[in-house]
Amino acid sequence: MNSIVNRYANQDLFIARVHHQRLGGFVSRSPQDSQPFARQVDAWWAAIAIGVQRRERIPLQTDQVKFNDGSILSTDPWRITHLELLALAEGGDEMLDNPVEVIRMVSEYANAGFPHLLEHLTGQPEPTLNLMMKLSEVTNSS
Amino acid sequence: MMRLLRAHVRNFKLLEDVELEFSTKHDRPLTVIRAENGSGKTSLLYAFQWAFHGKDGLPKSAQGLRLTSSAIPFGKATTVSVTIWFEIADEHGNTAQYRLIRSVIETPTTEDAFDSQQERVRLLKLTPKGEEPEESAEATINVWLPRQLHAVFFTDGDSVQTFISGQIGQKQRQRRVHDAIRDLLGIDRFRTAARDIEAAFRSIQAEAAKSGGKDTSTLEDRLEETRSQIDGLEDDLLRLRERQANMTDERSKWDKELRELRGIGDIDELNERIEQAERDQERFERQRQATLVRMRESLRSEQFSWQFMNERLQAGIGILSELADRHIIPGTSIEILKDRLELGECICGESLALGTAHHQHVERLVEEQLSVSEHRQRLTELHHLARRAQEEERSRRESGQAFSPNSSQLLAEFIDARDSLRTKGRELDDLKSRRANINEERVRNLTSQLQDIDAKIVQAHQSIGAKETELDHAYERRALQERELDDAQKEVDISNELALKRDVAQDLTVLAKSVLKVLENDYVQRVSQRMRDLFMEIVGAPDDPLRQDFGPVLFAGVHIDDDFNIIIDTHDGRRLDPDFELNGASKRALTLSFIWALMEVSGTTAPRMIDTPLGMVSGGVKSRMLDAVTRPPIDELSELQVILFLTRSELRDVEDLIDERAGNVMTLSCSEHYPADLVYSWSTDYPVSRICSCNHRYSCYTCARRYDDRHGVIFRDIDTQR
Repeated sequence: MNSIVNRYANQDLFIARVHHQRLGGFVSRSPQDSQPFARQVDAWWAAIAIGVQRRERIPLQTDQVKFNDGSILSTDPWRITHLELLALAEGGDEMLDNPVEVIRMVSEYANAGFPHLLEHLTGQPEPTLNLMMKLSEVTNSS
Repeated sequence: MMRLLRAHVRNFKLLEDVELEFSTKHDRPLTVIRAENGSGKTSLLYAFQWAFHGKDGLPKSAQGLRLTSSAIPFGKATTVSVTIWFEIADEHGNTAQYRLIRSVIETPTTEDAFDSQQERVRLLKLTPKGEEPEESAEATINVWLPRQLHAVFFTDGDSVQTFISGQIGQKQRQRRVHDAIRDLLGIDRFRTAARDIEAAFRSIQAEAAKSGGKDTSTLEDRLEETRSQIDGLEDDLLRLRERQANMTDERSKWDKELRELRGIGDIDELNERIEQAERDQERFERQRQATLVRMRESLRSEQFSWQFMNERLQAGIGILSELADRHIIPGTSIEILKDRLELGECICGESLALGTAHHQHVERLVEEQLSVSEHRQRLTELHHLARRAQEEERSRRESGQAFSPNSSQLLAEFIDARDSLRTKGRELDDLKSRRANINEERVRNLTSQLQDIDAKIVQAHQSIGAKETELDHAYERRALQERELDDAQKEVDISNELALKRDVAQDLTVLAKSVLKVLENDYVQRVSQRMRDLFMEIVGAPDDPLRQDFGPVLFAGVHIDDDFNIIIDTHDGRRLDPDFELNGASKRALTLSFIWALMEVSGTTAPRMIDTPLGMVSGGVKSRMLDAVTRPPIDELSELQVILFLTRSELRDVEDLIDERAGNVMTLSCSEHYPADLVYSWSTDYPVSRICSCNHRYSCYTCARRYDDRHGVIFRDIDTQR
């Protein structure tokens, strides 16, 4: 049985403050909550996916908030595989030797994806449903 | 022939200002007033009965009630008026138009009491010069529309059945049928003449007895005493019957009110349905929440990541494959080699048992792989994991478990649960609104009152039976005493003149009674025959029971026997009890056939106004009943005018026949039905009934009811209130 090594455990994960403030209402604060995302890392990964799908990257500015570190990725090991495949596709196999660069790259994708993600969530009576509908529209049209 | 043209009702109960027009077309004799229970149908029927005959024209149970709406504040004098325009045609076809106005000023003083001024009634003949007042309005109206027959002309579909059924005794039922025939056919006048002749005979007989001496005088005294007893017993019996009739009327009124209340929905059943709807709602809410949880899981899943990043992930895998092709990544994975060593068998099938040459070879390969750079090792691991992940995603896609189909399924499930929740919510609101309209205390009171009055009716029935037996004995005694007196008188010397007078009077009495009997029997036979034809047509029974196209046929016929019983015969030789062995539809068919037969045989041509005639009637019987009672006369000179108050449920499935027979259709609605049944509010401060020109196929802002669209009623974006 193969197990993946998390080489990003020591890397801090950031979200632009402007997005982080808006994201707060859509992440559960307790297991009883029913917000669209159980954890901030789940929202962050969804934003990465949207950014990648749109092929948009926006560098993070200095006003940013650390929300976790890379050890959280071990809770969903497949994310490390996807992270490294993205790194390969973006910067070739050399990028894999530079975890800082890999995290920076996906953070830029997340930074580009967050505005779209938040747009689908904000002001909706049922944010999870609306996000699901909008993302389904995207997948059905692509 | 009387034919109604139009009417204007003001302040009669909830009918604040209602105008109606009636069809006068020969080929469309029907006028329909579409109205649901509680819309004011009974009030409208009462308004007509009151207009023609005053409070005496109303059912006994309604005679003491106030005519104004209970919403009128105490102390406010209000004029109640009903104006009816009608046409009278004589036997030569000459017609004249009239306007009848009956009005009264009522002032409610307390919840239950009111002051009422003298009723005013005016009958005006419409002439080219203007309106000319008629003398003796009441008497004139009574000639055209005899008061004792108003129950036949203005009929409530429920109480109409009491002619043939209901909780009354056989004697009383016979009396009702007998009275109806006698009244409608004008036999009463001849009966009065016969009684006068009998009275003259008695007087002469008494005079003869006196002149006959002491013996006959004693016999005469005894006979007179018996006759007095008979008069007393007959009076008692009449009072008892009237009391029983009043109780039956009262019972019918309470029963109708109770059924209307229950028509809204039985409270227990409603509570049960509300609980069930609430349980359903909770279930749909759980489904909705569960779907949201699954959506959240889906949004953080690996499938989601593959769906959105597929192109870039495949690019990464492509690079790994290229590296492998270029042998930068070892073609043999350390993990695979380790696995094979543990298994003790090579992928080519050779044994890798410990100590064998192959085992040593593979161990060397593992050592070589471990010696390559960390970088290549990382790529190798990634290549292995990526291919496995790619394989798993391919498998998910093939089995429909990828993000896209899964999200579509979740959305469909969510929308399904949400729509079910909304539908259930509306149903729950509707049920709760209906429950709010039920007056539970009134239902309990009515149920209790009905039980009490049923017991009293049974008691009255027993008292009547006892009194009838007593009377029968008195009749027998009288007959015996009359024979004794007659014999005694023969023995005394009475004057020839007195004896002649007495004999002539006696002969005339016998003759008058015989003629009366023949007259009644002849009419009864004609009514009986016509009633049979109509009934068999309505219930769809053929004369020949063996006809295959009718299927099983129960009824063989119906007739009125010599004792004025209405008898229903079956093909298997049984006689059916109208109370217990006829269903509601057949009871109505039989009663309407009886009334129509009476009207036809008597030649009476007056409007026939019936409230809810098709209740409890459905299918073929409903359409045949409507067909029979609205069929235009073949004879061009004969006229028919039928006014039916029908609910939407009664109108269902006979719309085409209504199209064909109705010259005018209107709709009566009540503001109190908003919001439970009416769709639009009328913005009134007090309850009121209004009429609009919508026929059975349309609705408008005044009459649109919930669920109309389910039955094909088309909403018109106009207000057609008259």
